[in-house]
Amino acid sequence: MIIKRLFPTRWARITAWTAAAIAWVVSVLATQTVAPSAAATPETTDEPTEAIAPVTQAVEVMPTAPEDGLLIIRFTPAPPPPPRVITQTVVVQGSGGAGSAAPPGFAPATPITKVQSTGS
Amino acid sequence: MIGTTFRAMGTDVVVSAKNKAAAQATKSLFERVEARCSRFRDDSELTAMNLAPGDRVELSPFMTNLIGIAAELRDRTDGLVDAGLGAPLAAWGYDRTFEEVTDRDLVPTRGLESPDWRLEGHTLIRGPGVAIDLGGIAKGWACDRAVDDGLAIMVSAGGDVRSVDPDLEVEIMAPWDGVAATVPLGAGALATSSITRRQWQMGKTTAHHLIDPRTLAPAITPVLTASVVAATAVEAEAGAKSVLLQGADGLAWARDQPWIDGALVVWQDRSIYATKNLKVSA
Repeated sequence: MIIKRLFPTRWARITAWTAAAIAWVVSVLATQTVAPSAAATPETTDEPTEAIAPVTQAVEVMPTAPEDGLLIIRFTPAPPPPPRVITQTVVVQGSGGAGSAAPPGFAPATPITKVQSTGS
Repeated sequence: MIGTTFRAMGTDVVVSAKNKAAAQATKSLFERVEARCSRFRDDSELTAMNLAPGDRVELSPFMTNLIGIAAELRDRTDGLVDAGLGAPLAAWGYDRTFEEVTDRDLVPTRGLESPDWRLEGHTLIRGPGVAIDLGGIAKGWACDRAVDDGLAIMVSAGGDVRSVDPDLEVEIMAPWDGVAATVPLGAGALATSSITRRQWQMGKTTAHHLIDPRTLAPAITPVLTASVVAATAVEAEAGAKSVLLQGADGLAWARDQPWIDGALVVWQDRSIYATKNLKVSA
């Protein structure tokens, strides 16, 4: 009676029932997406089963430099440096007393008591 | 007393002298002798003599002295140590300083003749193509002059040693860089000749700087090195060359030479032999 009062015509009732049915179906589908059933199989993950390592432990397992082999960090081809002329002056003390430096190539020495004859 | 080492005549020269002035004078002496006697310098007196036209060349007193010594040593060694072998030596590839000598493909097969030369007064008389090589004689003479003139107490130039130091010992080095023997030389001279020190290739032939005047080719000998003790370095140098060139007969020849005080050879199998009069330390 109430329905007839709310929907007096036949087409009004058909529309109302159709709308109610669609609303019910949509509500059922929405409920399944948000909350899967408890009987569904849980997905596997990569989550560690142990406790999360502290920061100090993470530092200890950092990779170290290889002890053999060649580790090339960066290679930048470059021309060789220009040759340098190195001048070296060596002053040694001669046997003529203080201040009498001998010319380069002369060295005060203990007497040469042994030499080698290598052949010519 | 000071010691010094310098480079001259294609070898390292070790000098022991009373003071730096004497050592410097010894170095200057070697430089002057090399400048006059090098066959690798275009401006040397020796080069001018070898390139002079004709068969007669007038010599300076200095060159007359050295050529006279060369003639004397040639006689003492029965012609084995001949300073006139400059042309065969050059033909066999030693025509530049040893540092510049390179291996070559061909062996000289013709154009080599036994040298014919003699000294008359200050005149060198030589056959065609004769070139004088004073390498060994000039080096020994410089050692002798440095000591005889009181500049050096001891001079060691390559294989040649001349000394007035009574305590001097000389280690004769074997070809394998070991010490073959130690000689208490004292005052005297010792020289070593070797066919293993300066070698190069001429085709398939291993050449060296000791030319045998009998073959005009690098000597073929079972002796790797020969050492001789004598009064002067020029005598020791010539004696060592002669012993090496004579091979198996070298020590017997050296034993009979009154101017040789002892000789030692290193055989090709590494055996070491010496004359009985050679004084050897432990």
